[in-house]
Amino acid sequence: MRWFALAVLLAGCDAKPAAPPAERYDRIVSIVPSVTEMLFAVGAGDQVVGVTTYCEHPPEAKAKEKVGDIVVNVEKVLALRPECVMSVERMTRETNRALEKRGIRVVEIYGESFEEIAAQLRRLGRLTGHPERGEEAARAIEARVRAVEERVKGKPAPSFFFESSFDPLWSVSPRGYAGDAIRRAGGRNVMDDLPGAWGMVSWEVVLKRDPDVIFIAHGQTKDLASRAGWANLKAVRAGRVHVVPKEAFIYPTPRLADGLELAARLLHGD
Amino acid sequence: MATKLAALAAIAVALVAVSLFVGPAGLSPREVVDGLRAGDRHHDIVVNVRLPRALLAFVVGAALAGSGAVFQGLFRNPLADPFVVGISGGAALGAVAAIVSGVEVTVLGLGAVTLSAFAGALGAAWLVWRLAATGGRVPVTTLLLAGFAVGAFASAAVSVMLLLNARNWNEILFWMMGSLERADAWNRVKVAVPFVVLSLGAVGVFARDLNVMLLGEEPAQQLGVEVERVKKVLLAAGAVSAAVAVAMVGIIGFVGLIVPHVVRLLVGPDHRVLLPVTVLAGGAFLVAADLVSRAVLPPAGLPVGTVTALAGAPFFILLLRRRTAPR
Repeated sequence: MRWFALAVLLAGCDAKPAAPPAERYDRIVSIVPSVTEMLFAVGAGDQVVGVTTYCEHPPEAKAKEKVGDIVVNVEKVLALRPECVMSVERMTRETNRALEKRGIRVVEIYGESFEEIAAQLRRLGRLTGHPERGEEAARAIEARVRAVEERVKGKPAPSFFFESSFDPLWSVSPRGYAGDAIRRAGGRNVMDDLPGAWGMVSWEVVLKRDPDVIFIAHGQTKDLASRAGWANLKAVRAGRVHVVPKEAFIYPTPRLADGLELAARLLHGD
Repeated sequence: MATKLAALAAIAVALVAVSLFVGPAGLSPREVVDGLRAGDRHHDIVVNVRLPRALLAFVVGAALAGSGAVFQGLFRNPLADPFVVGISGGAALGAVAAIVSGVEVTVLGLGAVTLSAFAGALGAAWLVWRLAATGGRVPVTTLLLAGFAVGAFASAAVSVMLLLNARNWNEILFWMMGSLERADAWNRVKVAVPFVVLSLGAVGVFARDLNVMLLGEEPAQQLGVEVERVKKVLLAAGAVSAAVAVAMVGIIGFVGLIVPHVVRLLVGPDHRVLLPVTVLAGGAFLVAADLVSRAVLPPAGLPVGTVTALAGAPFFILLLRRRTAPR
């Protein structure tokens, strides 16, 4: 994933931009929620002129002009005359190409781990003329990670299963940022052999690997008991099934540190 | 005939038994055998996950193939399948509406998505029937076209809802691909079986009439078959059977189209033989396809619908060419 992101960045350098990169972007359209959140985190909220309907964090983002949902309206982006569009290549590939074809600079903002998220915060700070705010946000997230890592150091790592959706049963591997966060919170992922960062798993595999802790990061919790073998799971018998807010795990942004701290508390107690 | 059926049933039972040994949890044969005992560490995997999953595959395969055979006979059209009267489109619309709206209902232990898919499937079939009815008759050509139109309309509506609800994409796409991975498979088997047995049983009663109707509706009428009534019963039975299958596991294509054809090539067009053989063969085929789907690409497996097409299509083409080749 990292190499892929790097390749994407390098490929971006090869493309022929219509305008040279600016020193500082003052009119930015963000077409990915995590990017919008990071822009506000480095104090560049006022420079954001367009977002998507899914950009709901921070709440101020909701007041911005909307350029689309998962489908971005390229005409609307153009009408806002942005200096650049910020996005995540693998989420908006086709839109990025369409924008570039019309001479819009597309900037990739993506991190798959806390280090990368911190690096992107610093970079965003520089790109928007708020290097101190970027540095501050990056240090804050690094400090939170360090604090948790120190707290869980040397403690035995309980095995866990992270469920981001049921039907399909979806989980995260250590290569995904949510998996990375819970690993650093001192957990051992029972799905460490998932082929990708996130992926579908079979319920029987969960039964076989019988984790110590189960994190459920979605709302379908009403019929947990109707799952085959549910009552016999170690985590269920020990009362260690935790319904967690998915917002703390599904965005590669400073909010992921909330997930990290929550997971550490649930895995190791206070 | 009886020996053929017995042989097929034996194959189906064997496939279900083999299914217990295959799955991404990677149990050894020894562990599977031990798991049959209540209280064993792997009892839940063997008896409460793998066994009901294989049985669900059998029931769904049987329902789809049986329904396909009925519709092919009724419409006298080789391209007819269980979804020809708008059932897949209606079911998808129902399921997606439930997913998107997030309503919570439970009937017979089944959640809103399943219930709504079932209602959508039957609703679509009923609508198609009403649209095609003119002056007390329901011409099959009109029925086919109405089914196509309702199906297309439903699919378009699904696309719109999909676009407006990006948050639920995963769930919606997963449902539409069809999957036997159901954590409450035992319950689904228990609910599906009576529906499927009753509807396919009703079909069996009219097998002889269906044979006569292959001659055309007018000759059938002259030979004393109450064509419109038979049509109504068979359509309803085929629709219920397919609707249950789709509601339980999503849209699994190909089984309902190909299995009846293969069986027809092998045993001939007499529905008194064709129907029971198709039902058994459809069930066995889907169990086998699910076996393959779970053996490849762990830990999640391949969607079973892709296996039915990838494995079934070449086999079918081969058979078709051998049977139709000049001798």
